[in-house]
Amino acid sequence: MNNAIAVTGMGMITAIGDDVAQNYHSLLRKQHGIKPLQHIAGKHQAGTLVGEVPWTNQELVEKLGTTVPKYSSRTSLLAAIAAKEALTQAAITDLGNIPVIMGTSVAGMDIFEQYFPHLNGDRTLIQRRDVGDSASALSKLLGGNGFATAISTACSSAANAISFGARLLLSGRAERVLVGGSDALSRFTINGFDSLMLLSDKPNRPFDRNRNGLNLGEGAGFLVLESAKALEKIPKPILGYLTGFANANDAFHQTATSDSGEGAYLAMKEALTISRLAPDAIDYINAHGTATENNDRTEAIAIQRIFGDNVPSFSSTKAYTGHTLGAAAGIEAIYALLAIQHQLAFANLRFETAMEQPALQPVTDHRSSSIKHVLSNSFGFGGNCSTLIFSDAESLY
Amino acid sequence: MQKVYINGSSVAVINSAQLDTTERWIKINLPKIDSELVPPAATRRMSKAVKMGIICGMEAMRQADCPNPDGILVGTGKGCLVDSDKFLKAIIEQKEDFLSPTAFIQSTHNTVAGQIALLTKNSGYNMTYSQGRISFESAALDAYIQLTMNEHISLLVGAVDELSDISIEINNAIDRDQINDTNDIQTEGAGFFVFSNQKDSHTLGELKDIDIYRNTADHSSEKQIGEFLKKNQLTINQIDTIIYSSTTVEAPFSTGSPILEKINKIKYNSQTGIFDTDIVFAFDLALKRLNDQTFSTSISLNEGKIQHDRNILICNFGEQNSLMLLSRC
Repeated sequence: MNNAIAVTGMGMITAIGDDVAQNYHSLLRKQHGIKPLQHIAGKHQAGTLVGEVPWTNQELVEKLGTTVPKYSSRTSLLAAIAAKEALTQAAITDLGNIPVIMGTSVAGMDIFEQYFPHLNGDRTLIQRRDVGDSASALSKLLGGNGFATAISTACSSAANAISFGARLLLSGRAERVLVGGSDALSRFTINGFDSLMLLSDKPNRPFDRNRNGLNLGEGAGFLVLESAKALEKIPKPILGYLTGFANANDAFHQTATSDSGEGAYLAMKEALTISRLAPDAIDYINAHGTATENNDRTEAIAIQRIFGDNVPSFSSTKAYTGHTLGAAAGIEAIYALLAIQHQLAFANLRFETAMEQPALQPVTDHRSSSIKHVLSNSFGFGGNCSTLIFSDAESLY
Repeated sequence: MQKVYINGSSVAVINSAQLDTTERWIKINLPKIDSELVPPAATRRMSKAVKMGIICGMEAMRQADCPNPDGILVGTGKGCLVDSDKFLKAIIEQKEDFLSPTAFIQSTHNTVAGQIALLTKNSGYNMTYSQGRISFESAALDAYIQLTMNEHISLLVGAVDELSDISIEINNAIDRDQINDTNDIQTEGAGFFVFSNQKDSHTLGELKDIDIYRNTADHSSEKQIGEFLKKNQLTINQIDTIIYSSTTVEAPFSTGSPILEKINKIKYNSQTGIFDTDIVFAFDLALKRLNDQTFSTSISLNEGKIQHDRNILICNFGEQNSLMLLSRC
C-alpha cells in the first residue's frame, strides 16, 4: 500500500510518566496523576487539582540534557523531551530538514505571564508568547533546519498537526515528519477554565452521570510519521499506521457543542471514510471525554449516531492525565497505539453511574481483546472537531 | 494532480497615506459590518481580528460566488491579541478573582476561523496556523495540498493580525531607550482568498506552487528560487515581477545577484507597514497585476500603467522563508 502512513516513533511526557514506558505502566496500574497544583504561584496553588508534570523547568532542562535558550517556555521543554524520545525510537539521529508540525494552545504563555506586564525589559519574552515560536524553538532545540509550523485550534491542535503531517507525506512534499503537540499549565488557562466554571474540585469522572467538570493537565506527545518511500530506503519497525484523519466544525457555539454532536459526528464519519473502515471495524475509542457536562453528553450522542447499538469499548484517559489541551491528541494518539500494541482497552477511571441520555457505559476495567483499529477524538473551542484512526501493522496488508 | 486557482480576493490594510507619520503603531480604520450580515449586538462583542476576518472573508466568498466553501483556513501570527491581553491584565489586576470568561473565550487563536464558520454555518474543515511571518503561507500550503489531491473543491484561505493597546504599551516600554526605526511601522490587517481546483469566470490567477524553507549554510534563497522555478518548468527570465518582504535578513537579490537583478522587484511594506501576515497584500497585488488592473495605491507599486505580467513570484524572507508562484490564467 503506497499511501500508508507508518508510525515509527513515539515520545511523551505527562503527569503519569516521563516517557512512553512509564505512561503505559501507570495506565496498567490505574495510577492517575491528578493532584493539587504545585508549580504555579497564586490563588490556585496547592488547591486546584491538575495533571501536572512533577518536574520544575530546571529539572526538565536537566532531563533534556542540552543547553536551552533564555526564557525557554515549559511548553517547549516538554515538547523537546517528548520529541527526542520519538526521534530516538525512529532511529533518527539528525532531524535535518524533517518538517516539524506542532499543535499548541498555550505556547510560551507560561513564561510570558510570569513577567507580564514588565517583561524584565526583554523583547525575547514577547517572542516567546508567539505560538509559532514554540514550533521554531522545538525544531532548533533538536538541531533541525527544516520547515516548522504550529497549529492552534485549541484542544484539537495536536490532532490537526498530525493530519497536516500526514498530508505532507501523501503529497510527496516530505518522506518523514515530526508531529504532535505540547501544552504547559499556565495561570492563563487555569483562570480561563475556572472563569468558565468548567474545573472540577474533584478528580474528573469522564462519562459519569455525576461528573462535574475537568481537571487541566500538561504534557507533550509526538510521533514520527514516515511514508512507504522512506521505509523502502531505511526499513525500521512499524508501530502502527495512521489510517484515518478528519476535521469538521460544529458551527454551533464558540465554546459549547451542539446537542446532536454534529461536528464530532462529521469528524468521525469522515475519518472512517478515509480509512475505508466500517464502524464495526473499530475495536476501541479513546474518547475526548473531558468530563464536562456538555462534552461527554454530546460526544456520547455522536458516538451513538455513528455506531448505533454496537458501540465499541471506549474510555477517556483524561481521568489519568487531566485535559492537556493542545497536547491531548498527541498524548492520546500514543495511548491508541499502545492499546493496539498491548491489545488492551484502558479503563475509564472513577466511572460509577451511566448518564441518562445516552446511557453509554465506558470500559471500567482494562479489557483485553483483539484491537486492530482505534479511533481517537479531540474537540476544541471554536467548534473544532478532529478524529484520528490508528491501525495495527498487519491489518493493512 | 489538480491545479489550484484563486477565485476571490479581499484585503484590508491601512491606507498608505497613514504611513506618513512619526508614529510607530498605526491601526486600520474598518468599515461598519452590514447589520444584515451580523446583528449589531454581536458585532459589538467581536474583536477587530474577528471583524477583519468576517469583512474580508465574506467579500472574497461573494466575489468568487462561493458562499459555501468546503473549509476555512486562517493564518495568524499573534492570534486574538486584544482579548488575550485583556484577560492577562484582568488576571493580574483582579488577583485571579471574579474573572469574566468573555475575553478568555475569544482569545483562542482559532476564534476567527470558528466565527466565520459559525456565521456561515460552515461545518467543513476548519484550521488555524500560527507561525510568525509564515502563518498565511502555512494555511495556503495546507489548502494547496488538499486541492491538488482533490480532497476538496474550494476553500476559504486567509490571514489576520490585529494590534493591541496593551501590547503597544509593553513594546514601547521596552524600546523607550532605543532608537526609533521609522522603517519599522507596525500595523494590522487581513486578507482572504477563495482557493479552488475549478477554474471559472471569477478566476483571478493560478497558484502554481508554494514552498516554505529555512536557509542553511550551503543552501541560499537564490539556490532555492532556482530549484523552485525549475520544478515548475520556468526560468527566471519568465518571471515578470517579484513582490517581496524581507525582515530579519536582506533579500538575496538586493545584494546584486546577477540572475535576479534585471527583474522588476516590489518591496511592498512601504505600502502596508508591518504585521505578521502582511504577505496577503502581496498576494492580492499579484492577482491585480495578473488581471491588468490599475489601482489607487502609490506609483511605486503601480507605475500608473498596465504591466501585462504573466508570472509573479512572491517571496517572504525572514526566520523562515516562503515562495509563492502566481500565474495568469
